Amino acid sequence: MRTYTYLLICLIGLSLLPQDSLAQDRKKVKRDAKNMEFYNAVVDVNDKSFDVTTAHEAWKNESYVLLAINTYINVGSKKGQLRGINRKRVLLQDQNAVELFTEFYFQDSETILITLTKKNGEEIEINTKDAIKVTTEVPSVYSSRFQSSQSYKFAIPNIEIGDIVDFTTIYSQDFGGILSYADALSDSEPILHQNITIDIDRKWDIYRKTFNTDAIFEFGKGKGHAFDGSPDIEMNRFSLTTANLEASSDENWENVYEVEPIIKFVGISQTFKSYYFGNNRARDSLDVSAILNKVVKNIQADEAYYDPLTNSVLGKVKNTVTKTDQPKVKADACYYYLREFMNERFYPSKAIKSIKSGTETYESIYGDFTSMEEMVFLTLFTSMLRDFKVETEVVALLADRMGDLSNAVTLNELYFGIYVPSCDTYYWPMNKNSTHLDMPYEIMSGAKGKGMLDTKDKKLENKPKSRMVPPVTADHNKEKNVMSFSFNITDYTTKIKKQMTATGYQKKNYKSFIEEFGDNMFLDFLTMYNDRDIKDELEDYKTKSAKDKKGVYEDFVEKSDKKMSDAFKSWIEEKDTKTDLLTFETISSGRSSDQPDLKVEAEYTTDGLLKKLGPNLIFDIGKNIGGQVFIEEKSKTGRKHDIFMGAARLYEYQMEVEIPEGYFIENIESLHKSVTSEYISFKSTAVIEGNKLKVNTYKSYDKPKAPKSAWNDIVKVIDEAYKFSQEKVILKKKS
Amino acid sequence: MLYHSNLKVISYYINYFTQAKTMRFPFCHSFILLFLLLQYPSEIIGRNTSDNETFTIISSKQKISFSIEKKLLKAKLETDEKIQCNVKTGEYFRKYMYFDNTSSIKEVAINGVDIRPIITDDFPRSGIFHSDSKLLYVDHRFNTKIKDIEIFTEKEFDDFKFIDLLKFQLYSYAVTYSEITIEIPNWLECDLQKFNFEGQNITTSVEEKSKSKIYTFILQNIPTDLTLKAVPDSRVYQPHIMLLPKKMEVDDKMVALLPDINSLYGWYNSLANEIGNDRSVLVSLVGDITRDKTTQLDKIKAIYYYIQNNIKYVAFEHGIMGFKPESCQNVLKNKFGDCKGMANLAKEMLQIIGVDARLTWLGTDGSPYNYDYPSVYVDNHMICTIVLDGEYIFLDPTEKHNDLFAYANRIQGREVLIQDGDKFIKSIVPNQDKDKHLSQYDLHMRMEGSLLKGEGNLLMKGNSKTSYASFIQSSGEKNKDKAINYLLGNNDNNFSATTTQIQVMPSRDEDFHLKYELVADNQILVSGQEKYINLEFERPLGNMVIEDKRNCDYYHGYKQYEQSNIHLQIPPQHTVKYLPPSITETNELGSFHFGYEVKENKILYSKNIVLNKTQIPVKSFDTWKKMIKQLNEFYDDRIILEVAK
Repeated sequence: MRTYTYLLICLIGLSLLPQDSLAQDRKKVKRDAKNMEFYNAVVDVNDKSFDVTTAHEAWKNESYVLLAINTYINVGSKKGQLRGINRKRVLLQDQNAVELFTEFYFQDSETILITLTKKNGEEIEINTKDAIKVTTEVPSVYSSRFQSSQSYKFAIPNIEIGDIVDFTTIYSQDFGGILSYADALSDSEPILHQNITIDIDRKWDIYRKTFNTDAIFEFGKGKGHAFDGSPDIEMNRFSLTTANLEASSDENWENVYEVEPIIKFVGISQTFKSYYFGNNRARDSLDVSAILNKVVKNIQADEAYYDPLTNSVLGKVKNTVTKTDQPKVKADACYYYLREFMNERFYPSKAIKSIKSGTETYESIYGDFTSMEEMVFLTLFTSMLRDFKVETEVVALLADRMGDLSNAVTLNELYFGIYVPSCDTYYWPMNKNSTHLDMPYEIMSGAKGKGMLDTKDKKLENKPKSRMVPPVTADHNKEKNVMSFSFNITDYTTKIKKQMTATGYQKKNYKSFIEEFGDNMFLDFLTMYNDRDIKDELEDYKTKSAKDKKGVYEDFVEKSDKKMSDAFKSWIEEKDTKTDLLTFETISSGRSSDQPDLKVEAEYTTDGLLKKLGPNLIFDIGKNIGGQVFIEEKSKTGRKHDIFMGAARLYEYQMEVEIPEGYFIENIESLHKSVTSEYISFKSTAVIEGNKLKVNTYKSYDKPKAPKSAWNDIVKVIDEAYKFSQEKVILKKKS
Repeated sequence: MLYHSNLKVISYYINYFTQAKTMRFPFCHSFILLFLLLQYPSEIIGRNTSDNETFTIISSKQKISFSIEKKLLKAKLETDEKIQCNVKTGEYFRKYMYFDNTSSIKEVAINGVDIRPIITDDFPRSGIFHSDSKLLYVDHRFNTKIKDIEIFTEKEFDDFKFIDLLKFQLYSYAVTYSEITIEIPNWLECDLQKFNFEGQNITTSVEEKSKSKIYTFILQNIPTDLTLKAVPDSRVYQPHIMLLPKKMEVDDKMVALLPDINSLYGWYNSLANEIGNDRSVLVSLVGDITRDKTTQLDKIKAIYYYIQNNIKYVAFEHGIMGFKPESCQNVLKNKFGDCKGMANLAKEMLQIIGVDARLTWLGTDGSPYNYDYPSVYVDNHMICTIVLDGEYIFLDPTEKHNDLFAYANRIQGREVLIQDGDKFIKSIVPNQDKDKHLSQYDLHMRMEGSLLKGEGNLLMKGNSKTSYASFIQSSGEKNKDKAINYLLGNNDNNFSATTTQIQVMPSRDEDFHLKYELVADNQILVSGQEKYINLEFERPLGNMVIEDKRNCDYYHGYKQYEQSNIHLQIPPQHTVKYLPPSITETNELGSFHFGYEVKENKILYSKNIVLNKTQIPVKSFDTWKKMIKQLNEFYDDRIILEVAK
């Protein structure tokens, strides 16, 4: 009787559970069973690398060691689905590792197996059935590789130092017909043994390459498994093995593309071959010409979808464009207008829907919407310029730091843009919120690649031309600060007037100051949003009187101004000091051809620069040139890798300090510094003229990279700039 | 790992371990939901489009009423709020509420239309791995058309013990009018405990009806919350009401609810009695741990330290497990537990060796309540108390590096309920003598060119030692040197601190000494024949600046006792021209002395800081501000040496 009652209660309980939940559970059980079948068929349980229990003595101070990693990917299906298994064996060497692994996260979409091996060899299988659903708070250490929004967490019991955690995740995943896989082989902790195996249909085109490592993908013809795990001669196998990988390098200013062991592997199914990859098989770089050819064809084919938008924009810029014959003026006018709308919420909905219903979709190529924006830009821009009789080329370039164009293996490494030969200018897709503002991407300086003419003339033999973005000089990327200082010696505050001008890439540091819209953009801005709330708002806005409309816009501008001045204030504010921003004004936005430089002016007071020192005063002059790089003693010698300093650029400060009445400055020798090298230099001068101390500093990074042999010279410059940043001036009380 | 956007890493290459580890300080919150009701996790409640002045709560009306269902007391909280958006451009307002398995949200309506809110059962909260508390929220976007909205919510409490505390200000926005109405039926005896009403212009009225009494509290014109640092638990300073249902009449009989602290303890104790400990599984382990220990005290230490070292703090606070400790055998098997589980394990292990060990409930530092109030809001922590030779020793196994007799600041001075069968013992964790957490160093410096160089000897005790130990351990062996440099070099590039000492991890039962060498750059300024020398490398307390309009205590969370002597050898041909004048201050917060003097051919800079409080109360702000201003001026000042021509 008792049993029946219990069963009845269970049944009632079950019936109360949401049906969705039950269905999901059933689905999960089925999926797990299928995944386990796959695991049993594919995984070599006798893999000796997973029997290892100790790490090298040299790694004893590491928090943990990855004793073995096995990454297996199977791309045998033509359904656009892959299956994968990741195995890791981790030796926990300190309490931090124990804490880290105690709380374990995984994704809803994967089957997970965990075994804990105690020091005495006892193996404990960890039950993950009681894992807790997580909607937020996945630590970044896990979330960095998570795709599905739903994840679970559980606490692994009984973990101690010296234990080994073996965990395996088995998953399947949809993808768009291109397997695009690129990563570093090394990790933040050392790896004793690592294997990556990819089984892939032999009809697929394969691009593969490794960098900064001797490891290569070995080719095993017909040695792979089918999608169900069974051996299949139709499946080729690519396998790469490494051992004894130290933890990732952590030198300052290193170019990871030249330092870290990197693998790139791309597989393209036949379905997508015609799009970008032609018929070349098993290559180790992309056929950029074929890709460009297809991009040009695609954007021409798609431009009709954008006609309503293109026409609208054409109308906006027509006045400017028709008044000039200069291609650059025409191109700039179109570009600056378009750029305002290149953001993630921009959906030219009708066009997108049309594309989505087509057989050849951008999404299937790029896999995400962000990338499609790039193509939207290319399409709109070329189409508009064609209307204005300006010839364009679509360019695909590889960043200089990634080396030669032949290094390009994955499509995402290429940057697409428009080159206008008649004015020798490159235009890049970048949205309003981009850090790059109107300038090319910083990393595109010196980028090499190819360009293909946007032409519909079938008679013309449209061969791609080699293109290279001219490397920029330091002068191009300049930040100049003109500052004047006066003191209140009653409350020891300093009043500062500052004018900052940034050109080129330097503008990107200040994008928060210049997020405003021009008034002609406001209504368009509202129009372009595909947000229901905003659309309601727009409808409401349209019904308002002219006066009320102005009011709404003014509110918008006021809010925008406040945001900018708040951003500026937080930029100038030092920790534990009191700063009052008195005025702030954007003189030049740096976002259009008639205002190419960013120029802001501000006046503010701070209590952080002047201090009383006995009868005298001390002024922190060095602080005003911004934080300078500090290189630790131990990093000054034994440089292992070439030095990658980013874009050539310079920083200039002109400071004028009003010496208060009754005070004088005795020594300014230490403010004179001058160290130069072929790659970087720092100079400072100081002079007293009347009651003014005038100090100028100039720091330039003349080349983006330098050989490691130049490290000593570079360190000397960096050190000197750092020393200047620590300089103080004594204002002595006249006796 | 690669981080450049143009080399996209696809997800099926798993990199679990690419991020730097962060320091983890175990912080034990039991009964988390209750705590959350008053502590807004800004990650959830704030949308980044608005600041505190974007909205005004023009009217907030909360009404609580009671009913009996199946002989159990239930409560219903209805909230009606009118929110005004103060800017004309669109902003999001987020309405949020918490609930758990003792409560439910019955309705959320905006402008009379029922809204389907978003519910999440996992949201950021300090220290808790999982609890049954859930967050409900709904975002409303204001547009240019509608400037204010009305939000109505209804929440039901199935268990009277967990009725929300009633606050006048539910968000950080200003409130024009806030009304709390409590209807107490005649069949219910319920105390309304008011907190932080002093100095507030709260109008109170009582309306007697035939079947109930209606209490109404009104507070108007509550200002916007300031953005402040070191803010204490809002219960410490915000006016609010705690409901304490004591008895109710059911079927002509009076039924006790939580009339007094005895009944609260009775409930706690009943849960403790249901744990189902199986002590037998501990016996062998306890034997191993204590085998070579001869005294009872050494055995106690061995057990306490074993738990600290081997049991991790992982808190599951699901349902009754928010109040009921996990069994000792499960905690030991898992090697993790929350404060209750760890305290219970300690109690069981200690009892095996014949020690009188007991479970103990308390609210940690920062809670405004004590056991005068029979409410579950009083506690948020559990420890284990030993009764040894008639004295109490309070063991908090969640503190990883404490010795047996060192109490964390957060439990010092706190009232505790010590288990005593059907009764309890009310006691207080003693405020420990300042010597218990002394940090002391002697640093002998000399001038070498533009550098100051010297040797130091650091002594750490109690909490200063445990903080240091936590930091060193979390840094890991590989980064030990960096950690030492970070700590002793004040995280300032101008200082380089090294030690040749092999043992840099303190042991619990001994004071910790660390000998080190320090090189300081950019601390000597030369102007003519004068040298200006800075010997103040740390500026202790200097950043504890009270903001101008601050209206709540400044909660820094630690007590401090620091004695430091820095000796500077006066070089030949140099004479002392100026020494910054000394500061000596004794006030209600502690005593502070900073001073320079010349002794033989050395300058001695001595600092003596005794900070007795973990928070600076509002009434002491003037004193504190004056002292910190004076202190920062003192820190900015420098010694002046004159070099003979």
